[in-house]
Amino acid sequence: MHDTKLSIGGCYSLLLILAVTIGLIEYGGLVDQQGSLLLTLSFWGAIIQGAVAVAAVTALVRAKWIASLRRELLALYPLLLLLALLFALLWPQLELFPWDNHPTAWLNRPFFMGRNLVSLVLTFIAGRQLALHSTQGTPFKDRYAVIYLAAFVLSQSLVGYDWLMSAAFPWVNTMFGLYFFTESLYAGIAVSGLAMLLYFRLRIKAAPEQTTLHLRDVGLLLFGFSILWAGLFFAQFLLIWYANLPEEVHFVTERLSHSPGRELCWLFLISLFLAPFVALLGGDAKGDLRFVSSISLLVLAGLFAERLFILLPAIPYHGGALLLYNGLIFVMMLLVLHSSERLLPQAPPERNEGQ
Amino acid sequence: MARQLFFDDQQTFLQQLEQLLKDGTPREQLDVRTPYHLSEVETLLAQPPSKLPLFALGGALAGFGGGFLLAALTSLDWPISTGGKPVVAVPPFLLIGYLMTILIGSLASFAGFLLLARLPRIEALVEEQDFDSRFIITITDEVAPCTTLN
Repeated sequence: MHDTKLSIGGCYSLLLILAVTIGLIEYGGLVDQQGSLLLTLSFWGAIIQGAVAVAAVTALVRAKWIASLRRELLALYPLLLLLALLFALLWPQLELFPWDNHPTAWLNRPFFMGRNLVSLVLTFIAGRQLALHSTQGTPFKDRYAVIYLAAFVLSQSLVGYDWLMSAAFPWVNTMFGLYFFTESLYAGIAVSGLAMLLYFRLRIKAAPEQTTLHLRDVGLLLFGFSILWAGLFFAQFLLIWYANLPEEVHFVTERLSHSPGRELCWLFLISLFLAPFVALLGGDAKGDLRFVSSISLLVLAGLFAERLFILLPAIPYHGGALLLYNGLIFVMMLLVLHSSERLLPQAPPERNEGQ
Repeated sequence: MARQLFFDDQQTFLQQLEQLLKDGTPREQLDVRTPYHLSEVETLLAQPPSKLPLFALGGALAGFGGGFLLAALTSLDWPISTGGKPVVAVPPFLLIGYLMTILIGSLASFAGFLLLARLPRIEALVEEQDFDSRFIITITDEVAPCTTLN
């Protein structure tokens, strides 16, 4: 089992192979409808960046929430590079965006690719530095946590405004940036919940009290973020509903007037708010591993449904390619989690950390 | 003759309480006083869970239902169609319901706290002995109902 763990060099090599494989599938004539890559990127971008962001926040505020999972979350930093590599593959697909025929000062090919690539690479560099300094326990880790969080907010805001909102050009929503980086944090907590499923039994033997508390923390954070997500979603919906402006309403009516948009909307509303809120309302549920991990999985499914809901009418996609890309990245993430001890050899020091 | 153990540190207090129970001291002979609520004590002494969450839940549900009904019934009583919107418009009325959930839920929780803590009876509140902010375990010889003052 030890042989299956990746070294840092092996990890980067495998990421490169994965990016090349996806590139070959996308441009090798196997896929007739391009769009799966953008959908996959927007989904995994939220998950990977959010997971590292959760670790950054906890490190910055000296919190012990999910401290037993911090190394695993930080070990996902190489995947931040994968996001940049995959995004670079989008260059020939920019005709998918309606603005490509009418470029503007903000929405034009070179600037669009440039700013997004810079933000993704900056996120990777900051995430890498944060992970390495957290492992070494150097005093610079706080500085890198702040830099990472700033890059994360910028990157996820651009995901909202550039990747998703501009696909429905000229529709605008000024809350998309805030909405998407909050959602990404929510996804990061859900990843923690799933990681608990992998590590709980191992950790409970070493530190039963601490591990149980950390599981409760994940449950509590999932519950809290479900309410926060609902608030942000409702704030956007209410303004569109109230103003009833044709240029705003068409985004909603276009998606809700027929299947599968209608079903997807119910699916993500239930998965991202109703189910986590009701299921985790009780105190016992927050400390139940099966409950927390199931809800985490549901939250991630809801996130995927929401991305589909936003992009489906605007972007064509190939179902097989979509499944394959998501499957490959999921396996890669599991491999990285499995190799976390080797990727980040030392556990982050717990000294100097308060409640 | 009762024996009292004083602790300044929460962790030491909990360890000692656990040890006493492991040594076979009956729960009925233990009287515990803490400067603030500790759920670990409830678990160790097998006390029934607090009824306070029920007050919060009841208040929250009543607040949401009452808030939504208040908005809906007043609109129906004086119907004005604004901007083509329905008289009973669910999205904005949800906001009233949500805010009333918080208000009535908070007030019900506070009322529940007063009721469960037997306040404002000053004689039940003021102790003869000043315990300051320490943790105290009283081991009584006779069987007495154990209580936890928060």
